[in-house]
Amino acid sequence: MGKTFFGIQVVIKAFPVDSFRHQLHEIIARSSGEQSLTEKRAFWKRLTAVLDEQLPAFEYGFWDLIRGGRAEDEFEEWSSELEGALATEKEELGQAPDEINRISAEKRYVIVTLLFLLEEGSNADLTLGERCDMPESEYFTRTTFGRLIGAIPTLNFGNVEADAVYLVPGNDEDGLSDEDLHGGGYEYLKMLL
Amino acid sequence: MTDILPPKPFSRQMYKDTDDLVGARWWQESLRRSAPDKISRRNALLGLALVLGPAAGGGLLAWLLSESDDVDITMDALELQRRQGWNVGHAGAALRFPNPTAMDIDGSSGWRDALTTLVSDFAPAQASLAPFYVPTLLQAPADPGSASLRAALTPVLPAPENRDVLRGAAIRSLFEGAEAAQDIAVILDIDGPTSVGVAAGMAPGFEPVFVLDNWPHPLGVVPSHVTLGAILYYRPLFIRLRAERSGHAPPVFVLDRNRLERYTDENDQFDNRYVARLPTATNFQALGIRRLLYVTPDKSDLHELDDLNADFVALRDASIDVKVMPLSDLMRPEEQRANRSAPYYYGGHSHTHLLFWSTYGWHSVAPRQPALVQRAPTTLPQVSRGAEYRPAPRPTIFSSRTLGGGAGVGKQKPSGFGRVSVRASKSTGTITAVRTGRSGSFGRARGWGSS
Repeated sequence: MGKTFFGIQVVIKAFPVDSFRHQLHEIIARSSGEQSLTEKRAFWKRLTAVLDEQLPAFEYGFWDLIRGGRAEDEFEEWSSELEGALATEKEELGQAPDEINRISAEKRYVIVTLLFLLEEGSNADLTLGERCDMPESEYFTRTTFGRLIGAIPTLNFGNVEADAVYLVPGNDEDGLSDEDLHGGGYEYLKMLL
Repeated sequence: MTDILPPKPFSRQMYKDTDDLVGARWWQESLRRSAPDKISRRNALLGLALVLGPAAGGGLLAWLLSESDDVDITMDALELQRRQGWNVGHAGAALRFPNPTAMDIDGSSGWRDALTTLVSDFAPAQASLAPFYVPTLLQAPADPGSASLRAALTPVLPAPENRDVLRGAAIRSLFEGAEAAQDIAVILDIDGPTSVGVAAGMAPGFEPVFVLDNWPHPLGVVPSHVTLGAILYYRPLFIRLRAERSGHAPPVFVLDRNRLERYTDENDQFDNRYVARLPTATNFQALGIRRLLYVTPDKSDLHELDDLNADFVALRDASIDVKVMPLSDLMRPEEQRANRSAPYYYGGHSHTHLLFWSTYGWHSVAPRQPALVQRAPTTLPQVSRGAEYRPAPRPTIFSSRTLGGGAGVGKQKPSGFGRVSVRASKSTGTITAVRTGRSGSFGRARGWGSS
């Protein structure tokens, strides 16, 4: 059976008073190494609920739905790039933070990435396919990202072969700057309307 | 496959909690198949890459894990056409021309012999403008594999009452005889055939620079074959005027507004859209251009198309004054509406025609006055507010799509834009089918045409 890849990445503007980063961190950190379908759904429900509250702060994003032969490669590429490529940015993340308020105007973004590999033609695939079927002009709006993220807890996780979540940076203080986002590697991100 | 599941089917394969990343990844082992032999397939990938080249982009990875001999990949539409033919996937489909004619503007059928020389026929006479000439559309009929395109092409008749040429003449007359024209360029961003007609009207005093960066296709989103038809119709006039122009004629960039035509992944469309590649701010400065008049169809189009937003903001930042004038601001005098050869004027009368300068704040007709004297705008109720236009950044699907911070040549298309899905044989690299809907990143469509 073929596969379907669904990936969504959103850049959120974070303010010092925000607790969502800590909440996301906690949800991921406390996730179980072995999950039942019920636990899987509960995990995504908690995580997407936190994201949903941050919808007005979504600044940039990208999503993709790929069916067929490319799907599994796409999942592997996204996950391996995120897991492997970020270590080199560690020094930069620690550079000259404000002693009082580390999330300053310079370093204020966090990136959340959600990845799924599904059975092609399954209920989960059809659910995502319906949500992704929209005019091109709506591909990159906050509303669309809210709808796509909102679809995740409704998936039949029996059809989900793999899933992943990433939060960058990993600590609750640092952030990415505009320069980080507009510099190398993030050019594909779209400003959300 | 999911009939009998273990109680906890998801097993975490990765967990990371560091300063730079918090992440976790799970697999549902019961759904996983045995891992394919990636090494041998990656070797095979090299073979297909050699056949298809870089045009297939990341799509080549599509078949790494696929079991059949076929692989679905996405390719740049133009690259696919160059490799497989202008009408790839739909060889039997016909091009439809509105108002076709067998004769060009001179009443000659000589255009038939010129189908392979269009690129040189329309090249700018000034060497300084040659780098900005984008003749991709004109290259299509000359391609060795385009015999059926050459057979299908025909000139198309101009708009009624010769209005495009007359409006072009009106724009030209605005700048005639003034030294001010030396630092001005015009960008025509109207639908292709109209753009060509207006450029023909301007050609006695302006150097046309065509910026047409796609090939026609029977199911093309952009009906660029009709633009080619207009080019064939006006060809003798352009060639004649190029020979007659003397001195340093300012450039008029000829764009097709349909390049960003709406497309929603229809199964009956071939995505031959493209982005306009204009000179950068630095290029314009090197050409001595300080003022740009951007011509749109009518009053409802008083800002640039999405693919030009970043370019125009860069022009603004480089102190190049960009203003908009819709074609609808050019009208015939009320009393001459019935006269089909009556000239067009800015504001609809010869008296209002020269008010263009004060309205746009660009120039005083009085001698020895600075060329950029700013005057209080003149208010003409019958014209648009295009003179008040100032480029401003806005989010578009083309935002952040330029490399190296530059615009113009090298501009990148957004993901999925101007790309089509193809099915290729892994063993031979041959393209076996073309899907008219985009598929690729957002593969929802079905239906394939044989290549």
